[in-house]
Amino acid sequence: MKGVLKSFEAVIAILAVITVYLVLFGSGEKIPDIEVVTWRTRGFEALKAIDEKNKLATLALANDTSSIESELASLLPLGLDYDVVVCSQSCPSVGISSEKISSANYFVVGNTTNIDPKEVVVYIWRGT
Amino acid sequence: MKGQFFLISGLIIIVVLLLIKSSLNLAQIIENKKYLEMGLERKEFSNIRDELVETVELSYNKNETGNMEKYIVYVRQRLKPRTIDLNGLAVESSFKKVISGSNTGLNVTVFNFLGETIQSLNLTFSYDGSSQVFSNVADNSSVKKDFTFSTTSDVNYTLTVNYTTSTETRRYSVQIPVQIGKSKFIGFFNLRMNSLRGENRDEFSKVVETA
Repeated sequence: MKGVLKSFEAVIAILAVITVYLVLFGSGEKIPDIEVVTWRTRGFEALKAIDEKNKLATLALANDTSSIESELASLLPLGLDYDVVVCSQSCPSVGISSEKISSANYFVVGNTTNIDPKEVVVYIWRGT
Repeated sequence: MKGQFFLISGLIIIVVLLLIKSSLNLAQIIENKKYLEMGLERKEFSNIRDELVETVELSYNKNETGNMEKYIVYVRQRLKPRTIDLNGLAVESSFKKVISGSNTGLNVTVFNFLGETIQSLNLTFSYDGSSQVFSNVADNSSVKKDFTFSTTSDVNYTLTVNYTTSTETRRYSVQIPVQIGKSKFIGFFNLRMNSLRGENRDEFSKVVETA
């Protein structure tokens, strides 16, 4: 009889915990992911910093994504991986497999020798 | 006692869950995220605006026309998949080197990218009150009008732009600063960027002395 009572109390405790958990966190309300917005902001600021050095437009016109990535190395936080694409009328596809990914977009119009608008996109995700 | 242990443990877990929930403050997190996203969109809008100004400077130093339309059309096309609309109106005026007492042409181009057709567009030049009315100016298209002036001294003229669409009627007065011996480009821009998070807008002029 005593054993049954103990089991009954244990079941009540478990049910109470589950009920409270479902009431508090089971409404389907997801906690918004601020991290990806922060990555986007950091990415945008990094591209802007390269543009302010008058380098981004020339590198984008030459589609020199490797040099843009080298410039980004010192501007983005450690632990993040990134990939740069330069878009003309359309964007080249990228093959990134990550659960969480963010992207920052920045427009450049060209330089004194060539006026040809481009969009520079940096994809950012957590490094492995 | 062992049974009570389960109940007490359950109670402790419930208290911990309540503490976690109250510290999360979901509404505040959502608000913070929205604030960050809107801040980033303001920066993106500034980027688009600044590059438009850059287009004006680069183009008129090289005497190239049409680059502003090209830039605006490109940006609109790139923003569309992100459900961001860039709309507005560009009034581009230019005149070649002004010679005292001689007729000089003022070339005016109005580029409609309001996202809708302009039903009626009226341009009036203050020099002699001459005007031109255009009807049904489609989105992503432009109209041109050449005015003429003659002056013996530096003077500020006004180009008045009136337009009506199905949703709005607007009037802009664009200052045309004429200087003897100078050729200039005067751009007036009304930019609006709309997304699910809100709207950014700006109206500004850019005057460039041309070669």
